[in-house]
Amino acid sequence: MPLQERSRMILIYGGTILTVTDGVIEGGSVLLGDDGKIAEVFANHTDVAGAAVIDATGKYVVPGFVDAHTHLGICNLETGEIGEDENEMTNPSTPACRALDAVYVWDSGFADALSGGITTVFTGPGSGNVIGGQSITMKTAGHCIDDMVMQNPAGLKTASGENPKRVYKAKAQLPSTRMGTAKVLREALSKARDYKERRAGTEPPVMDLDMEVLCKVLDCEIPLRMHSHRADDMITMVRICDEFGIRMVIEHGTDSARVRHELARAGVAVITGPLLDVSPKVETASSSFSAPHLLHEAGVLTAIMTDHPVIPIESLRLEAAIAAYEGGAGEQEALEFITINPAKILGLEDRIGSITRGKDADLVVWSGHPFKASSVAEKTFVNGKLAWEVNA
Amino acid sequence: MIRIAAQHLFDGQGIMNDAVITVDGPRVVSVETSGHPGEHYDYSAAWVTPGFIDLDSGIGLKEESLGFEGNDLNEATDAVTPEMQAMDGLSPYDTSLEKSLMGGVTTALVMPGSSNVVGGRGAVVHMVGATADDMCIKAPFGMKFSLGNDPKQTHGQKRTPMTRMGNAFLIRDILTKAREYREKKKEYNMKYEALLPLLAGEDMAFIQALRADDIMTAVRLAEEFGLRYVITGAFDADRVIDQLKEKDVTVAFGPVIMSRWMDDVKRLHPENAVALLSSGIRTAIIASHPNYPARYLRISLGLLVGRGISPEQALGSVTSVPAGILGLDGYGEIRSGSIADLALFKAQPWEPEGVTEHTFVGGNEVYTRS
Repeated sequence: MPLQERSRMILIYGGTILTVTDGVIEGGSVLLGDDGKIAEVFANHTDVAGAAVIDATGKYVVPGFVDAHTHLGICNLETGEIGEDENEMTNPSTPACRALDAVYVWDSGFADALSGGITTVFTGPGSGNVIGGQSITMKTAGHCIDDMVMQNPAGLKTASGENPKRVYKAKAQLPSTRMGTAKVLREALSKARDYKERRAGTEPPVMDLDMEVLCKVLDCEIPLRMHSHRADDMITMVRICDEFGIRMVIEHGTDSARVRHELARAGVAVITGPLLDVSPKVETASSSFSAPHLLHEAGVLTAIMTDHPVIPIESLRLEAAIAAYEGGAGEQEALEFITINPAKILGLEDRIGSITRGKDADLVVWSGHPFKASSVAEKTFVNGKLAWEVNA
Repeated sequence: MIRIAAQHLFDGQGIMNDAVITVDGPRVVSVETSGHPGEHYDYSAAWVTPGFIDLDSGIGLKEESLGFEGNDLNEATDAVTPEMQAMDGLSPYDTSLEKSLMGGVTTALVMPGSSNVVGGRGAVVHMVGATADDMCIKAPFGMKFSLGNDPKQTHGQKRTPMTRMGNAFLIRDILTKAREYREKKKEYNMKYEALLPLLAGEDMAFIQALRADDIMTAVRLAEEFGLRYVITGAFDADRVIDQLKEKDVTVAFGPVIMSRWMDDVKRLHPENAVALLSSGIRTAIIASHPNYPARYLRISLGLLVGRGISPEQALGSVTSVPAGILGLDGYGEIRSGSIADLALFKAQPWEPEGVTEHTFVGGNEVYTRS
């Protein structure tokens, strides 16, 4: 069956479709258009003129998952230090550094992502710096980063808590405390505000790449993507964001349930995780699969991450499954944590995160419900094309 | 006396439906295929299994959430430390212990880490107890060896080993010297003393080897010295299955889920565990906590069941198989007279929805899901 032909429609019929936003369709069909979009979702259809057909009877058809916080392709697997390009730790503030310039698309993590049903990732710098650089959102299938990228920049990576102060304390540099971390961020944003004013005036300053990126933050074009485990760090960062009127998403959010009502009031989304891990640090002690549900209940837009390669990216569904059954979220809510919610956090809910007509044809045929550990992703489609197949 | 009704009981070998287990004190006293009509049971569960056993764990030695303060896994001031004993670094306050019970894991062989080529002796422990001694089932037991990148990376800039040749040399050297020491004992030497039970066949070597070439080096060394041994990690074992089978090697594979962040780990895949389990090689599946949280050992089994391994074999690989390797009579099984280490699950234990509801250690309920 010539599924990989660019200009052929594909009809996947007979499966249980978890649309995410429009309920479950038993024995439904999805038509993947030749433009890479979902052309139609049918209650029951086994044949469309000109379309290749896939019988998914007894199987599940699920949107491609979205992992909204990874280091995929930037922190390469297998190559050790040679392939670690996620932290430019020569300066605690490096906003002009771009993930786009460091993603190695042949890293085996991309195949792992497709094998775990993940079709979109947010990937970016690590948490060694207070301001780490610009992250991107990209599809997980392809050979050229420029064809795969969806948003550049998708957000400005920033970090609070243990990591930046540990890195720079070892170099006997600022920041060595939480106060120092806040100072680095506040100073950068203050300078950018000044730069922005002068840029609009009659004698504009010499172009500064760092400042240009921070202006995008001040203009609310992109959010801060704030690495934060401890609740007090989150509140500090809400305070700084209020000072500058900027947007922020909390990453990790290990202790975020403790301040969930404050975060809900501030309109801050939280991407929790990695959860399928032993708590490695003091600031991760309260790590719990209950956090996503508690946040959701409080009105916080919530997603789940793997932080790949901290835990392997194909385990995203297992994290959501444990949040469903042990963490109190239930299946539908937990499914949203890895589909439509991260899509909303990224501002891409019109393109990904559900099986809906007109959205990107990113979907996966699973042998059973994706929350069963024993289920296997059999076929993963990205932009309407077969991108991965089990045992192929 | 406690009466437990199980819709499905895995007794260490097979699965029985509608079984009733009676526990009296620390032991199971009977397993019946049906209860009394109208009987009210103390506990009812969809699934009951023996408590799981993690065959190569750092739990209690590398405590979670503590960073440096809680890390006593590797005495990496010397690459050869057979005289270290896990019992002496084991914290009963590691919060991972109670979390393990929340996943039905009741027992572990706690071993020093993999930074040294010879790490030291382990301890078989229960996951609960006020002190390390309360937790202890038997110790010292097992001698930890490690091949591959970890010892090279840890020591290579300062001392031997800097290469895989150095790894093998150090093991061969210390075992040769210990053997000579056994024959013409002169001055007391603590390192050699620690190796005597191993040379005498009373103790077992647990040799961590991830890459296939390291696995075969482990086999070569163990054969040279006539050791009883288990290969642990073994991510690459599918490449040398015929050799392992021919030599009747025992393997503790795992963890099944782990970041492929290092060269040694890059071929890790559930299919490799499936290949081992299907080959007839005696294979335990391990969490290798804290490389993977022991609490979710059960879910890593689901990846194997989904690839064709029977539930009986998957569950056996974390119960009766490791108990057999450890020589723990009465553990890893549920029968009249066995130790009442039990886990009760809401659904199939290898699936995320099979949440652990109650865990018993020695007949005591040590975890109850609220």
